[in-house]
Amino acid sequence: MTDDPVFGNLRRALDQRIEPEPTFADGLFEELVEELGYRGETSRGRHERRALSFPIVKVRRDTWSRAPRLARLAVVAAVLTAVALGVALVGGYLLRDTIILTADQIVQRSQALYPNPPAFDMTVELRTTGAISAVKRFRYDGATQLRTDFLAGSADATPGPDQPDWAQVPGSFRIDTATQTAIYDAGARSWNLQNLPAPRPPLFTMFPLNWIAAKPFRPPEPPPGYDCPSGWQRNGDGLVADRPAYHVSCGSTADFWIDRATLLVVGSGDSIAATRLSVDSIHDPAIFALASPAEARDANNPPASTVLEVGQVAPDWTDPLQGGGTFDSRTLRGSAAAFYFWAEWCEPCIHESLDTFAMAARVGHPGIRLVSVAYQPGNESAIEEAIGASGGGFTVVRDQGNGTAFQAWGLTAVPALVLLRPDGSVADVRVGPLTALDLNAALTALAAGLPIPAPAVTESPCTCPSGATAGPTFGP
Amino acid sequence: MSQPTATEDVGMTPPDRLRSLADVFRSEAEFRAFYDLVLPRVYGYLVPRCGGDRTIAEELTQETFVAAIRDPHSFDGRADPTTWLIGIARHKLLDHYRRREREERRHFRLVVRELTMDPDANAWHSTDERAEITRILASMPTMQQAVLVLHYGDGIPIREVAARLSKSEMAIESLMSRARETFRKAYGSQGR
Repeated sequence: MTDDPVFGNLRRALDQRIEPEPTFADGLFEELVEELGYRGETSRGRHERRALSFPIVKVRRDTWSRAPRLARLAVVAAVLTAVALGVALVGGYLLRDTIILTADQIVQRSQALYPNPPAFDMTVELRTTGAISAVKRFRYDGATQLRTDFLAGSADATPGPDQPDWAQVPGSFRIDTATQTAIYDAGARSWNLQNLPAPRPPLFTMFPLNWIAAKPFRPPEPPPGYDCPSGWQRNGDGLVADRPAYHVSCGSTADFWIDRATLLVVGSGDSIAATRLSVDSIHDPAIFALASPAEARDANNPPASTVLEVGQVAPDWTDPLQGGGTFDSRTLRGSAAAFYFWAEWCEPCIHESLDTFAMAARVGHPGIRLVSVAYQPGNESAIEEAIGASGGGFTVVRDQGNGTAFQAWGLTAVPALVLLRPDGSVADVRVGPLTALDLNAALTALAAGLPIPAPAVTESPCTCPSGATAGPTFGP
Repeated sequence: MSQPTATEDVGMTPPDRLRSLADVFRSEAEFRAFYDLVLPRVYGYLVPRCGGDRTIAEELTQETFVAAIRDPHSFDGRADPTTWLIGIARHKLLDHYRRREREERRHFRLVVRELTMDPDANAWHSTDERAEITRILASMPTMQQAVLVLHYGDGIPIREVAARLSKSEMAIESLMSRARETFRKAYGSQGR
């Protein structure tokens, strides 16, 4: 031990006799006396309780660090056990599908979804005899709107009852709402909007994949569903559209893939399967807008010609002439020409309209050759009779059979008026009966080399069969 | 009075020497007499070694007495009962130091201690050297305080200090030199 005086002071400082507070001293004494049993109480068994009740001891100590080691270990063990139980419960819940669901349960849950499926964006491939025949994209808003886009198709695919004409050209689409259907045929560039006369079956019946059996049904009957009396079988899960999918089958008659996450049907047999899927998609409302694309022409008001374009040179054709001989459209090159297509069996084509044309021919517009084309004419005397009433005086071309000129120029109705410039390019094409006012204005402009003014009055075209598609094309 | 030795209870005067332990526990009256005598000794032993913290000293005092009466067989009869009790108190004190050192390693106690001890207040109020030394000890890291207390205060040899603190003698030696340095600086700064 050092002789350093500092530490001598230390030693003395540590040698003290200090009286504690009386409350503490008396309290401790009472505790000890009771423990020792001087007052006739059994004390040993009550150690723990008494020690805990002694007021002063508890005040400052950190409970955890003072707790006996064993108690601390017990608490830790209890916490770990609780955590392990929690993990087991959560894990069991997450793994429930792999353990619990039978094929029948999967089918039942998927079918229950369909009266009210979630919004989705699904692209499907359709295959016939192994090759892709069509690729379509379906977008459903989860409520009342469905858009079907035809993205791709095989040249070999032939239209049938379930493959209407409109679905053959990529870019075509169809929008279905509760009360309307609109179809854009990218091939014909036609826009066809129909108001449905009666409430339609629910939109989900038009999904590419659903539980509706491929049998006709008549609303308001419910659509026939798939059921499997022998019980669905569960095959190995797989991936469809890069998403885990259940695979269930009913003997050899039905085979479905069902998306695990959403329970939507995503595949059927070898003929149709989804290639992309997103669910609860927020669709741009514009995709459901029932507005025709800018390049579309109204199917209810078809264009005068599907071939002729203003400014483009018109195709040439030849036809027999009324009274004999042949007419060649090329012979008119070098001067402006006006062709009036009519038929003696078409009421709007004759009478006032034909008279108007005859008048123009008689009065004459210098530099303009006027030719009338009788579409699918009857015999010569029928034509003579029709012309005779108008006074005649104009060339009559007989466009007989299927109508060589009519077809070459892609006309859609009669009566029709085609105006050509001296170089053979189209100045104007219009359908409907002629009025003197409009014809004179048109011919004057043509002679002057000016743009042709639109007719003042738009007459509805003749409903005569003319080869144009009239009315909607429907189909899934 | 002779210099106290390590095994003796420091500062005990001959009239305070007691009977055997059997006498102590014979009756409540005997126990009361013993209790009144040794309580200030045990409490006085613990207070300066707890940095003057009376609440902690009370807790350790209670623990000491309860342990003593629950296991009177630990008294081997060689020393007197007071020495025996101080030995128990020393055990409890070392437990306290170990707990404190664990908390210090978590940087908790040091901060608290610096905040709760007001050096300025003590510096110009305290004239009592004992209180001053107590305060210096309290402001030191626990283990440094422990080695000073055990070696200088209790007279325990280095080897035994090492054993009691579950450290090597080398560790205790270096701890001791640091502790001495700390104490000397703090003590010397008081202008003595």
